[in-house]
Amino acid sequence: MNVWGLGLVVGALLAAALAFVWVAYTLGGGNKARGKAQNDAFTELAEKDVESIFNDDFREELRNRARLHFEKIIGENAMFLQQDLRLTTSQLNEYMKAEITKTLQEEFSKYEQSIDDAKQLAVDSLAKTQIIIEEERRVLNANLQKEFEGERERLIKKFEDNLAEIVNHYVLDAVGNEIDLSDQLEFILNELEANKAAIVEDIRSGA
Amino acid sequence: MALKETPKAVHASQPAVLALPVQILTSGDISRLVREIEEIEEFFDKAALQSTTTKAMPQASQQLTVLIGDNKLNILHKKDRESIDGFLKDVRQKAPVIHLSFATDPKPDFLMKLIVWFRSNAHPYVLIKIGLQPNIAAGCVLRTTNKYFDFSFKEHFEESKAKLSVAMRAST
Repeated sequence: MNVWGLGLVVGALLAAALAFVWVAYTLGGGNKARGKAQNDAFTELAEKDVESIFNDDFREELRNRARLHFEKIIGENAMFLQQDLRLTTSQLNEYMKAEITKTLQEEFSKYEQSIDDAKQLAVDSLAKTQIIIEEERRVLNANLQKEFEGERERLIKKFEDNLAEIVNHYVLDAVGNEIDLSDQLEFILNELEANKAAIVEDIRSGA
Repeated sequence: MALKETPKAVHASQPAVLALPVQILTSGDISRLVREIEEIEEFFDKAALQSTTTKAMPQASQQLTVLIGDNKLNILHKKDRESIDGFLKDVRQKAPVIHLSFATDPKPDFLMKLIVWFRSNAHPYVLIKIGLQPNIAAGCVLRTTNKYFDFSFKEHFEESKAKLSVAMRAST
């Protein structure tokens, strides 16, 4: 097909289209005028029918239906609200539980920590006290030992100072009544012999 | 018991030449003998004044008997009685007296053994005075004119105290 053929086809198509558009416009303008007139009639009729259709019973029926619908909606909304509330309450309870538990756990752990600290303080204090007591005990022990030694020495010295008296009393109590003078004669004579010079000198000088 | 020999002059102040028996121990004995001699002298004086007498001569005590016997005297002779009287009075006045204290009352034979030592070594006419000191337990305490001698066990313990102290300390 050459250019001339192609151009011919295109032109034909354009003409058809224009014709179609003209027809359509023409029909529409005429319908519009007819429609407008019909609409006016319909409107008038409709207004008359409305009065007969929407009478008191219908209105009452509509009211009842509306009321029921409203109640239904209200009930549904209430139910939804109740469900929401329950959910919210449950969530709130859960939240409160969790928070309280968490707070309590924190407080208990703090309490436990403070108790542990106090216990440790007490243990440390006891350990220090024990060390101090041990030191005091050692010092006291040393002092007591020193006192005992001193007292022992004092008693021994007192005993030694009075030893002759003690032994004398012991001999006296034990065998005092059984010592015969005749048994002592040799002892006395030995003592006299040992001190003979002094005795003789004193007796003769006094004679 | 008496000294074997009559004592010679040991000291310038020696009272007499008679022997003093060991049975005569104390000043009390001497005083008693003096009274006894005086009683006998009195008897003889009375007997001389009364030509006859029915009274018997006072019995001489054992001490007087020993004194007369040891010195070989005769109580019937006035001179001997005067010698004894003078001797006893001199002894009473001049003899040294020593004090001996014991824990218990000593028996006479014990004292006689002691007096033998004193009269043999110190003075032939030593007289003793006996005392009691129960607290000395044993031994005796001698007191002469100027000195004091402690021969008691207590003093002996005191002197030996060091040994016991050493033993005690060793054991503790």
